[in-house]
Amino acid sequence: MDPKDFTRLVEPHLGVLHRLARRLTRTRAEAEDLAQEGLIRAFERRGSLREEERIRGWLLSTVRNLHLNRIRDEKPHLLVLTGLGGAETERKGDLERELQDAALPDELVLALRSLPEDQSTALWLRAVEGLSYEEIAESMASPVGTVRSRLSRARTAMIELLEAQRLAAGGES
Amino acid sequence: MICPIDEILSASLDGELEAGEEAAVRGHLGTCAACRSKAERLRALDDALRSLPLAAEGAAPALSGTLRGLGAARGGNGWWTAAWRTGAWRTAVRATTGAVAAAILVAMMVMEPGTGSPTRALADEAVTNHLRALSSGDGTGCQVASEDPDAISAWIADAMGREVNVPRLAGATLVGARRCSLLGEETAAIVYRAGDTAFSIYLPPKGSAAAAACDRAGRCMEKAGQTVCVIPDPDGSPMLMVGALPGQELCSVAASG
Repeated sequence: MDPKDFTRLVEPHLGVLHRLARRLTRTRAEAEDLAQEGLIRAFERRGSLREEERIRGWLLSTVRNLHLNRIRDEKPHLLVLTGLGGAETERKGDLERELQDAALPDELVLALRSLPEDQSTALWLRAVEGLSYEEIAESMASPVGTVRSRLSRARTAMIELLEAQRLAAGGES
Repeated sequence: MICPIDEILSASLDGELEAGEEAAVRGHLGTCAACRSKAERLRALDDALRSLPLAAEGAAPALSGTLRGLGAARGGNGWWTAAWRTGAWRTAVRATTGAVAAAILVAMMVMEPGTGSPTRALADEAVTNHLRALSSGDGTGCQVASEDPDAISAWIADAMGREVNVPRLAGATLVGARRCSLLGEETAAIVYRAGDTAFSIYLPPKGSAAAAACDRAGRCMEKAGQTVCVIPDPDGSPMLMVGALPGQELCSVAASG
């Protein structure tokens, strides 16, 4: 594939590539490194892209595989979530309303990070990036049926986590 | 129809069911309030995820630059990919992508009760980080020690690739700085002393989830014996202060900048 064709095909997907890298890593600097290296790796392997219309899944797969390879040798990172038991008055109301009002962004971010990577990535790619199950399957090298069950488990876990946080917050006041 | 399993409801939300299956689910939702409520929660969750600040974030300029560089390559994979991997290009790119922190605007700070869920996670993380730093070797957790704001700024630029204006506070002595993470975003924490009390000022990157959370925060709240204050900034570079000082005192220190 000609480098200019590569540029033309990839350019519309830089945003989703960037956001996936940000989701997968802990810091902006790590995300920039991952996205850049992933882009270069995709360029080097552009000959393996058989169907141009599948470039988004192929690109995301490259970045995710690179990330998984990188963390394989890293020490496990523990996300420590410590309940401090503040005495502030917590928001009341039902979870659905709070979600609709986007009133829980911080909790959402942390809940999403607490999911297994394969679930949070699938959920992100579907809910935010609008990828089809087939595209997600390609991005994650998984069967479509696995994607479907991962998404369901991710959503159920997120709702349970947020519901538990809401109840805990209500219980503190 | 008996109530569908969660996986079917989830796939229905995504429009990934066969037509017949989808029709059956829709029919069931018309008669089952419990499943309808569950489906509405799934939809609300997706909507909420789409409203996260990261969902609206575009690619970093450096990434577009990389792509342009690749497009200009002639044959093979060339010097460009090699240049990236030497690290030199990475350093150069980082040095030019940091946002310059705007001047600090300290609004009238008043003690307010916390505003609840939107800021709880941020405050928890900041307080936990601050307390952990205080319990480390030198009692501040600093990775660099200096009373010179310019030296601290230079260290942050070098270590984190960001340009920040380290606040000069007449009511406190600058101690040093450390790198930390707030809501998953690498953040600079500047440490000061007011009397015998060390406090941290967090400078979340512009556009980060932590910066957005600061915008939504109540201005002062107390947690675990620590006061958490937000110093807003109209240009999107707010600061978060954490320390074991009374709220008014912490705010007056902030106002001394």
